[in-house]
Amino acid sequence: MMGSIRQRLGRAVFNWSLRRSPRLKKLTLSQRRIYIVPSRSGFVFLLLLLIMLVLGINFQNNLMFAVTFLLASLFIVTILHTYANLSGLTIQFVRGHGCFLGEQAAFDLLLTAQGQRQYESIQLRLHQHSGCAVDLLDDRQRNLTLYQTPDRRGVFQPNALLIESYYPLGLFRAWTWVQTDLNALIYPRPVAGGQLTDLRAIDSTNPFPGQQSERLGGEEFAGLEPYQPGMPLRRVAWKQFARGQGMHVKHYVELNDERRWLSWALWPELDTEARLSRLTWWVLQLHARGDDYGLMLPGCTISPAQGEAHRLRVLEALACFGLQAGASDATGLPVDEVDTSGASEVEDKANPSTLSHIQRQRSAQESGL
Amino acid sequence: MMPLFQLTRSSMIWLLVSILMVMAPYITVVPSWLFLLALLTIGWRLMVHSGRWSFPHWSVRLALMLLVLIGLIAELRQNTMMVVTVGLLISAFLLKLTEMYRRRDALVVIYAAFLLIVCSFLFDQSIPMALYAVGSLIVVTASLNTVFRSQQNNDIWRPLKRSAVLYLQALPMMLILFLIFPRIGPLWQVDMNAGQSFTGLSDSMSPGDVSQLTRSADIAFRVRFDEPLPAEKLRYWRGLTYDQFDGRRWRRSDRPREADRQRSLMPQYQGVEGPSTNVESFSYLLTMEASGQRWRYGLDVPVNYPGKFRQLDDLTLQAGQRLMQRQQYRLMSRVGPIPETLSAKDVARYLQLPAQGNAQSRELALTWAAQYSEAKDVSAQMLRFFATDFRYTLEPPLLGQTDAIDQFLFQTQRGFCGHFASAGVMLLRAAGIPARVVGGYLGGELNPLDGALTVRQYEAHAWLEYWDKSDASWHRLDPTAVVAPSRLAQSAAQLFSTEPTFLADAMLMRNGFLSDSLLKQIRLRYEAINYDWHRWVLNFHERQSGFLQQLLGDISVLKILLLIMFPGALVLSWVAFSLLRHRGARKDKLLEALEQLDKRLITANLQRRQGEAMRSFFARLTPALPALASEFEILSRCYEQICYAQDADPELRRQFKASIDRCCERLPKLHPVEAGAQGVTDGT
Repeated sequence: MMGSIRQRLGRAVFNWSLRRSPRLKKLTLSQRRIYIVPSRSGFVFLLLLLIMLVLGINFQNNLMFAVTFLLASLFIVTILHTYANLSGLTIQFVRGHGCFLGEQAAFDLLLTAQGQRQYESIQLRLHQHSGCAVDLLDDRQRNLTLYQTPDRRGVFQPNALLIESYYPLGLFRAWTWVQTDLNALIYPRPVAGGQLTDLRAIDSTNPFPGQQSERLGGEEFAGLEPYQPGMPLRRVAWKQFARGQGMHVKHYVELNDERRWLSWALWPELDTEARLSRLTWWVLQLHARGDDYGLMLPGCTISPAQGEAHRLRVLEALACFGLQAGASDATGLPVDEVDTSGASEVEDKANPSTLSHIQRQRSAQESGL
Repeated sequence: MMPLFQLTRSSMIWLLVSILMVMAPYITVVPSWLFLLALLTIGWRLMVHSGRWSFPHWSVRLALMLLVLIGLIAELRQNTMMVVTVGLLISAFLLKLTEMYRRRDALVVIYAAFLLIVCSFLFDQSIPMALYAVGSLIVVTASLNTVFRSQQNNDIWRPLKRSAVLYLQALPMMLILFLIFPRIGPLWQVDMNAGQSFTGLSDSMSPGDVSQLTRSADIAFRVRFDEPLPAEKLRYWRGLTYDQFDGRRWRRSDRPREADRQRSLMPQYQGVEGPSTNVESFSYLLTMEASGQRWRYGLDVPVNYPGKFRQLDDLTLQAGQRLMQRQQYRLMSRVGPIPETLSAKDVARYLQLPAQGNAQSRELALTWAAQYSEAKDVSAQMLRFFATDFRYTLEPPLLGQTDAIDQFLFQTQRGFCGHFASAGVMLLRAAGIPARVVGGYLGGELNPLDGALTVRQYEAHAWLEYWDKSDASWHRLDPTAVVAPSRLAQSAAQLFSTEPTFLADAMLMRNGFLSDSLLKQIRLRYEAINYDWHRWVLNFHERQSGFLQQLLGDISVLKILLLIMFPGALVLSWVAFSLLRHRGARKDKLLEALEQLDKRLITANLQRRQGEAMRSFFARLTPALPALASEFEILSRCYEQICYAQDADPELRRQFKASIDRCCERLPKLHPVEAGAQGVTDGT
């Protein structure tokens, strides 16, 4: 019964404080945000004081009174210390890192101390998740990363951030709930399945047939090229070297006459999420092999290419499939028909503070000298 | 949710230091096997911490707990409930060490430590103990602080500093609370008999008992007289009278009756001994140490005394409770004979003697009774008898079980005050004169620093009083005065200094170590401080209302609230200010110096631009101010050397500063430049 009242009260305070807290990129904690009440051990401490007082009264012992009052004053003074351990602290929400469903999404924060003040043992955690405790003693700034396991793919916003402190004596709990202005893109969970041949089978319907690409490391000998330090010695053309023609490396390629298409239509027996999961898995496989691949989803086609930026663009399309409203909300850009340079722009758009933050840090270093 | 709690190294160290500090005052109080338990659990805990052992299995813990419980129950036979309760608290506190898994477990230990600090005042309330307790409080709070620090922070001294600062800030408020908080009587009756052993008189006395007390230099009580001080030979502090004699020991009658309150105030007093016949009265404040007894000492006959005391029919004072801690009370006493009309029953009570034994003494007394009719003359004859061959000594020969008084009077003839008083009363009673033995103290050492008289255990004394029916009063008679007249004139310390057993339990004082002039000064100073400590701190509950009245005039709830609120708010806002003050980051000395130059350059719009590197700044200045080119060269070289090469040479900084000063001096008068004209330099 008590528990449920406590829980309900806690939830009411939680909701109320979130309503008071708009989403901000950067905020400084002040008396408007910090709540402070005695902690459970604080209440036990009060009980202890009561016992001491009764002892003092009953034994008419003035030294017992003195210690009791000293501890009572300590209790009062601790309110200020606990409050001061949060007040003036500035929190900046830096960026969220995308991840696959089933992994933990990471969110970067930057804490800045006010002036010369020192902060100890500040605990930060996302609602219903574990967190970490940080100190800001000599360093004025501190980066930290919090994790939360997302429950679905797409654009993900982390829970409210709890910042709390029991320092110095654990008698009081000062805390605040903050809405985090962060999000991360959650890609579908990669699930293995299907065959590489399935992808070839679809090649017959390739809308761009006959294109060839060369891939390094294949079986076909393509010629010699000048040796440069770092090239594998076993590929050095020793015969030519012995003839005094200089050091050359044999160059092999694999001739690849098809580019692979990851298509929505590949595995019709699977439901939407399973299909997305398998496609995601294949994106990772093909990326690892260094193949060119393209993506065909209903309403979204990304032409075959390779590289990190391409991979991110394809994954993003998979993540946001069927959730278009949320996706364009997050990126602000249409997902299809964007060239590769657009991909990096998307990334920057998601983390607008990154660049400016680095610039700011540079200028801070400069002026700090 | 909470990460698994693990004691950090600093936490562990402070926790163990707190445990040792908190337990130390109990060394003389609780059974010593608890300290073995402490060693065991602390050792085990250290092994767990270093990873060599694991926490004891639950069965081991259970067995340990049962053993401790059995031990404590066994202790209950010899010790009092209070000692056993404290022992229980200590053992729970120690056993908790062996199962400290979570932060809550550490908190239990720390909170128990707070409680133990408070309980240690049950056994000792001296100034050193109070200072020690403050020290332990700071250490225990430091370990509480370490528990709530983050795991990576392992600075060992920081918690101690933090805790000392906290207490410093808490101190003003504690003083206010201490002064204001209403002191009410005990909520329920507690058995204060904490198993203390007391030195002092008891309610039965055999002749040798008093000489035992001379081994101790413990303080019995302290007195501060309003002027004047009684003469040394009048400083008889009466405690209790013994009227029942069984041939060997003296006891007080089982049910002492209360005195008729008016009687002692009667004016007619007649003395026996010349100059002391004048009735003199003295008023004084007496601070009595814990004696474990119900009687309270007072000079001769107290006539004014606190209402909580009763005056018995022998005019000694009796309190409702045994004195388990220091008590202070104000008395007014009169010196001189005590008038009392004895009923036949009382006469019989004061003539009581064992049916047989000590035949020789009885015979002697009867010859005196035949010779003299007046009680005065009989007693004078007795004093003459004592004045002949008797010797006053701390180590009288042991007396036999029967006829002890005969043996003393006619064979050994060496004794202490107890022997003389007891033999004297026996003789007077045998001669038909009502008499009683009085137990108390004689003398006291005057502390010239605060004018207080300190009476110590070695000044314990026994004398007698007889009833003279001619003036219907009790008269004091001290056989010691004739056997060892110097006992009244000198302090006991001087008189007995050659006796081997004197102050045998207080070697420091005996060897004159503390009576050398400088050391004596120190001792007297310490005692003066101690006396104020007792008056103002330990007995504050008895002075509080007077003190508050002095401070506030009429006491009202509003005034008291204001007295709490106003200074409280003041102190708290001071603390808040010091905590929350916005202290800007400390500016670099170099940049500060550079700002001087910058300010001069602003007029010409040459000041350093946002984010401009130092070298390009000076490079830009050089064409504008060619006269200072060499200085700019020095400045940029020094700056780069200090900031980028991390050169800590203070000479470089000095050079930089000097160069800046030179620049400021030699800077020509700059004229405001139009924005367009210097746009060239700005563009670089």
